[in-house]
Amino acid sequence: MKVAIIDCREQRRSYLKKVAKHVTDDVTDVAYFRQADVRAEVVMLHVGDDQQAHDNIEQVLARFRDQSWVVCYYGGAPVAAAKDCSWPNVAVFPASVDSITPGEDFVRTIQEVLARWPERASLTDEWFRETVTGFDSVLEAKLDVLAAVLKDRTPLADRLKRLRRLYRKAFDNNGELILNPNAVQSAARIRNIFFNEEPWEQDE
Amino acid sequence: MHIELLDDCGFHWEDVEPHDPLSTIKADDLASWFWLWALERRKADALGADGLFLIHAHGRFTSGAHRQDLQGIEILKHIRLTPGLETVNTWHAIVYSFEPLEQILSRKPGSLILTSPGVTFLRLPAALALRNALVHAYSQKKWNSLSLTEILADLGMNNPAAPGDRTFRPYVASDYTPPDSAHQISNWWGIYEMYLAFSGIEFPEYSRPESLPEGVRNFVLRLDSKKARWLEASRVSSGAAEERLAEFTPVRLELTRTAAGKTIVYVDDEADNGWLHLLNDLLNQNVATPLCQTVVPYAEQLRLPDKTNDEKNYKLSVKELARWVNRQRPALLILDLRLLGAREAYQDPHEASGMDLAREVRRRNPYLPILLFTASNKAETLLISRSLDVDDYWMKPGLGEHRGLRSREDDLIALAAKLDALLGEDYSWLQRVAGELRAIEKRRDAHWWEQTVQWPGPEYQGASPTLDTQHPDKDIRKQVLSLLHPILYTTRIIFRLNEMFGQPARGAAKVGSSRYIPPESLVKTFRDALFNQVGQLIELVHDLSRDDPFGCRTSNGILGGYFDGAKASFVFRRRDWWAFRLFAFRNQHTHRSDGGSSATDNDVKTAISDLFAWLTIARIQVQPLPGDPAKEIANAMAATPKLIWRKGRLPEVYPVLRLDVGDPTGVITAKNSEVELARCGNELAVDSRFRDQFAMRPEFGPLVEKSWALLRGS
Repeated sequence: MKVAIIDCREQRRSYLKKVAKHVTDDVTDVAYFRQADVRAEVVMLHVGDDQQAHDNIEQVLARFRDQSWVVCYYGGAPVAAAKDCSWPNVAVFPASVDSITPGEDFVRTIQEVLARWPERASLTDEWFRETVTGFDSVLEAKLDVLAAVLKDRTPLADRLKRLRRLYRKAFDNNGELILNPNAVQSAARIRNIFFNEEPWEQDE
Repeated sequence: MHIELLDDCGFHWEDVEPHDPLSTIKADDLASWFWLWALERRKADALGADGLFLIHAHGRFTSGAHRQDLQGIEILKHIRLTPGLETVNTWHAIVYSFEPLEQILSRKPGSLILTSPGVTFLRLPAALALRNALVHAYSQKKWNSLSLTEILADLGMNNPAAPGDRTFRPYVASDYTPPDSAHQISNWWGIYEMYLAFSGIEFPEYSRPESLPEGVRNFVLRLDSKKARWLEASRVSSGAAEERLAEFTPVRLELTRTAAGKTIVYVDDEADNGWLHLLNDLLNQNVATPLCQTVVPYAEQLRLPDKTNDEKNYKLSVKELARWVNRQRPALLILDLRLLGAREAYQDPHEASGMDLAREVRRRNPYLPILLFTASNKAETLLISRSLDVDDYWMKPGLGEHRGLRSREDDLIALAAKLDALLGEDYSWLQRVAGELRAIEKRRDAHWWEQTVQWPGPEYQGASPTLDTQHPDKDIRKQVLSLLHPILYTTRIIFRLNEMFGQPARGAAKVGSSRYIPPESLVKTFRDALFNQVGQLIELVHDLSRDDPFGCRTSNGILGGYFDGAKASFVFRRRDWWAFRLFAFRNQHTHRSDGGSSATDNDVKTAISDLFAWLTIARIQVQPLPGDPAKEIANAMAATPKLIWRKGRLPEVYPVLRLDVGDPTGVITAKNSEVELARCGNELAVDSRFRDQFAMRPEFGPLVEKSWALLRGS
């Protein structure tokens, strides 16, 4: 399996290359598509404005969309060409990806995509988009925070950051998660807020 | 009892001592994880024991998983549907989640396994104290004070003598319910199930699918995992394989007889996935030496341009494909609805490429039977199937909403019955008659009813014989054709009515026929309409002879002819013999005094066969009669035996007469008082019904007798 990473952010590119290297040795990483004649079955493509400044994202997508899975991601906002692309082989990860360390959710998504490429013939045509674009980062954060609370462990900071804006009732004035001495009681309270109450504001 | 905790979080359950930690199992995909788990447990000799699963639905077991992937539920599916795990398949499972059950099911309907027998669903975190959790779960039963021991006893976990509710039912819903745009898996599974039904295999061996066609085999090998087993568990079977085969065998035998010697065109972009193979198996008793040929277009012919972006070339390609279909002279066209596959998945079925092709084929070949062969089960598709664009509709079974209501065995029998009907005598006859219709349209020289002809007139009230002159209108051919097409259309509707309601195909007494039988008057209405159309056409042609003092009308059934004073009998004119026969049919079926009708579909076919025979007779020797009428009439009579049919036409439209009339029936060619060729026809038709009534002129008497003898002998 050939994997290509096209990302103008060097640190993020290197991080993703390490992730892909766990699955295959055939990994190409370039800052810009126009720099090389890239051939790949799975493509990780940065679709932010910085990338668009040097590459025509629409052309890059057209180049790969027939034969490859293209995982698009962004730090700020996706360019229209990627956001509006409805091709089944092109999917945009719905949450922003940090420009230095991509974050656990995105890495897991990449790992899953790489793991399922060999058996793509038995997957539905929608599987790829459902997995990448359909990923619900809020739900994942809620489930992970609850699992951590039950285990009496500290939830990951980026998970809490996302939920803090949405479920203020679960946090105190300092932005700390309100916990009881009993883990089960903490989890019960937080679960009721996360799953039974409307979010305070819409997630971006 | 063994309690197996499947949870990556390591929750501390009250009263539960976890088995070995699962963190020792490393795998990238869940199937591998599952088999490694099973291997470890087998080594630990834990699988054979009585047991209970505690499964965290949001457990994360492989490196690439999110919690929202619900891997815990996926593992439960593995457990339920993987043979060879000894009793583990039927262990009770308690599945717990932070989300409520409704939310899980709304996100992933395939998780319906949580509601199946043998599974208890609990919502975290109340579930952490097992006793409290189960009390909570059973609260609706008001078991508020149950101890863990009692609860497990209720689940049948610790008392072999009273196993309790451990009913294991295969999990039937799966996540593999592809939408129309991506129905490849659905298609593969459908053809696979059809093959199992065809072969009478109830419990297939996934590891030995050698008997399957290559496309299907490759698919099944790829699914040699939990997916195949989920899907297999969801198979709908309507009974023991042997019983189903006993029903199917005679239907298929009948079909192979009907199909022998015929060509079928099958147009489907997925033909190579196994459907072509199945059709060939179905239509031929011996596939190595097929008697029925199924022809498919080349792949290039099916690469139609995009309809939206390149409409002009699309239309040209469809036209070319339709021409190719008609050139094959098929007895049946089997047609997929969407030849462009996913590119037109959301196209209105009426505008789908398959329907465009059907309409294009029908422009040249309007009576070719067409079987719509599609995975689409939309209401619009059903409406199309009820239109006259196609003759019948068979839904390819698949998954999810494409599964169909019946078993695959029923589907197979229904398909064979439909093929048998569309390849059968009715539709074959219709195509032959349609060929006659095309011949009338294309013929360059004038038919007898398009020519100006003088006929011998009647001797009326002692007057001398007069001439009866036929003056055709200029557009008589157009007028005749405008009546012939509705006649065939009406016939086709009668055949469709039979298929839809009244007469199940041979060998399929129940399958495919409606429980609703329309009143006989409905079918009678159509038959009456048809006989009336036949009558209208005869009247149209007879109106050409306006000089005939007898009027050539239908009154008293006298259609023209004359009274031979010397013999004191009425003599039919040659052309009127046929007209008389047709009118007799019509009167028999539409003017009965009791209001009933004894007409059958065979009567309908006989009437139309007669009609075409009457219209296509070639009167090559008839000329206008100048000079002395009496002398010319005599000359014309002498020339009569030279009137011949176009050779070879008549037998094609007369299967019913030949089959159903007990006494020999046929038409002979005669020349100079000698029988020249039997069954090629001229106007001297004889059959037992009319021989006695037909007051044949003396000079024809010996010829008729000779012909009769010859026909009887043949």
